Amino acid sequence: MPMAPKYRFALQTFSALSIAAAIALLGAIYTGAYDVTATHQHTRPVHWALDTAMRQAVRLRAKGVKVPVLDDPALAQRGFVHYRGSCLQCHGAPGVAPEPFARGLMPLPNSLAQTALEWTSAELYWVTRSGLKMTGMPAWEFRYPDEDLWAIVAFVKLLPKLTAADYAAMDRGSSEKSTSRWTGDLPTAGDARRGAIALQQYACTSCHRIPGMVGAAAHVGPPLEGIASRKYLAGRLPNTPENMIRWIREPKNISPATLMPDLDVTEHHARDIAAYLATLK
Amino acid sequence: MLLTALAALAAVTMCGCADREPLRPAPGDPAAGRVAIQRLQCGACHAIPGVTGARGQVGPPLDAYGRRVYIAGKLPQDPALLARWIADAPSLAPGTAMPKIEMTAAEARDMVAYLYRLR
Amino acid sequence: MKQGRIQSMLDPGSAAAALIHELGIWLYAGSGLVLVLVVALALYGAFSAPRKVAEKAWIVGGGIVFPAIVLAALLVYAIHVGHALSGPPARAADIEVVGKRWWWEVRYATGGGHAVLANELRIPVGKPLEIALSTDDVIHSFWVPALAGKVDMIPGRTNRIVVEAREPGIYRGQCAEFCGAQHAWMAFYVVALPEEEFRAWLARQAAPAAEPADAFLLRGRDAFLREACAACHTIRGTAAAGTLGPDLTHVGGRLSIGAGVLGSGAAALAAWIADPQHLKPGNLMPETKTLTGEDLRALASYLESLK
Repeated sequence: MPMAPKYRFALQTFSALSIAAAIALLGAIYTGAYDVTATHQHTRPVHWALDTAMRQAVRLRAKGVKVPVLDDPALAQRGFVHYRGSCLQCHGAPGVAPEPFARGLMPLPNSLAQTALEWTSAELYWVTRSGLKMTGMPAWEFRYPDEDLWAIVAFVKLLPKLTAADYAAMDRGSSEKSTSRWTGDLPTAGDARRGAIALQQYACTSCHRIPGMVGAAAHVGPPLEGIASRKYLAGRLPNTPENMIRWIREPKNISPATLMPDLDVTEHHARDIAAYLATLK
Repeated sequence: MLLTALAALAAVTMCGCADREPLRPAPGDPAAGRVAIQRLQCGACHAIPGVTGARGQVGPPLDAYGRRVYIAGKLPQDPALLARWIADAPSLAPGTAMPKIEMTAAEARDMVAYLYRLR
Repeated sequence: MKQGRIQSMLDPGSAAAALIHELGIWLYAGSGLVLVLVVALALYGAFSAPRKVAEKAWIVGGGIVFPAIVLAALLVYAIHVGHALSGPPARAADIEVVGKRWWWEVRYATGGGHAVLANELRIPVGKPLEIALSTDDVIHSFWVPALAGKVDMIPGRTNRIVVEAREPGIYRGQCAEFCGAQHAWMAFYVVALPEEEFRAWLARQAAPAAEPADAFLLRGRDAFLREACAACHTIRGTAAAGTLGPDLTHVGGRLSIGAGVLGSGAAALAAWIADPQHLKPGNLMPETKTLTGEDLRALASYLESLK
């Protein structure tokens, strides 16, 4: 059946506009016209799109999270210690400004007193645990055990109620340092899927080219294609699963002059990473 | 108009990788370096693009070596230092599995020139 | 030494290879001539005006009489060449070569019976040596194109071949009967030396391995004896007396590692030890997972020092 002229005209117009839009988009990317500097604001539509997408994604993903009991002062106190150790620098606190470097971030980290009012505990937990792409917000899953993540949420929930004097008093009242070390149980075997996440979370991808990891294209260290078939690690250690875990966890003990830093990889995560690398034949 | 735009886009996209000059200038003859790599059987341990049969997997692959920041994960890249590493790795890293290999200074220099051109 | 003519049957280096080459030339020329003749007749038939021919005479003459005469002449000639190739009547073998998957064990009867090596024969120039050929597993075929014809190594039998070189040089040989996955990497070298040099070489081959000259080489020997190497390899003069793999007493003086896979040198030895299954998949040598980098280098240097 032939198409009625007005529909055909509409279809042609739509196609032409789509093509023009695609060209404009690619053009903006390739000519460098889109300003990515942190001193320029996002345009209003871009900001709306990013912010809404973020908010909706967090809502969706936080749905299944089960919230433990949070109104325990001891828990909030523990959360305060971690907040001071890891969150204060960017987010500030009642009466305390963020560090100078954090004021240069785009987007600017939220004042969490506001966020605590508007977001549910489950959402706060989810964002703290998983981080946010393209913002400065890291994932803390690999830095703190789950109980500590909840402690941070408990403290953040308290923020809107604190005066500057309250916070200063808490600050003075405790000199405890936040130890951001993962202390999960040791599983019996490594898990390659978890390993892929750990590779990112221990910053392996910033120095190594790793198959299966988008954007892992650096040549600071050797590429890891075929690492499972490689005979020697660090040019000196026979490539066995145990040695791989050792090398990941304590490179300097194996090769003192190596530029590969000690990343405090837990045994648990080293096993997962080794399991992932073992798939790279 | 559309075709012109696409062609321009393609040109912009491609010129990023068409540049094959090494990131670091290195004296030496890359063609002679390839011959030396073949003669000295580097391919028994390393996978090296452009060298017939060089598919070894004892040591790391050397593809895109020209972009590698460090030598053996230890030393900042430098043509003279890399030439020394190629000829006598144990003198720079006693624990390495890479043996000292008899070669002329020119061969080592040429191999560096070849490796630095691998982008 | 002349290196230029590695594994070519068109450049004979012995009287036997010359006979084969001559037979080859007759074959190429003769078959070429027959081809030209047949094509010419076919073209003539296709393009000339049709006319009656004596069909029976052509069929009998061209299809029976002509091939019978040509092939009979060729048979007589080939039998004559084959007879000439088998040389003087059989005597005790000078060298035993045993085909294995996928390498060659070479044992010298002279030299006190101790000279055992792999993938390499050395012979004195101008002196025909009798070689006994047998196999440990499947059928292989011993072939050095520049020096002699092919002779199969058949399970349960011992065949013989006489090898002689007219001038010093390195001649490459190759297994010429498909024998499994690594048939292509079952090569060997025949090195023809002046008589004096050959004698000196054979005496060295018969002697036990040299003691390590320094601490690093000693470390290499320790690694050899500590790792599983000695279970399969012999180094005469040490406790290593395995028989599954090649005798390594003088491995450092050989031209190739892995029956042609790699050339000589400590680096090649290190590569082979580190990754034999990637370099030659399916061969019997397992990879070691316990040698540190430094031990690997020491071991390779030790083996390289065994000239």
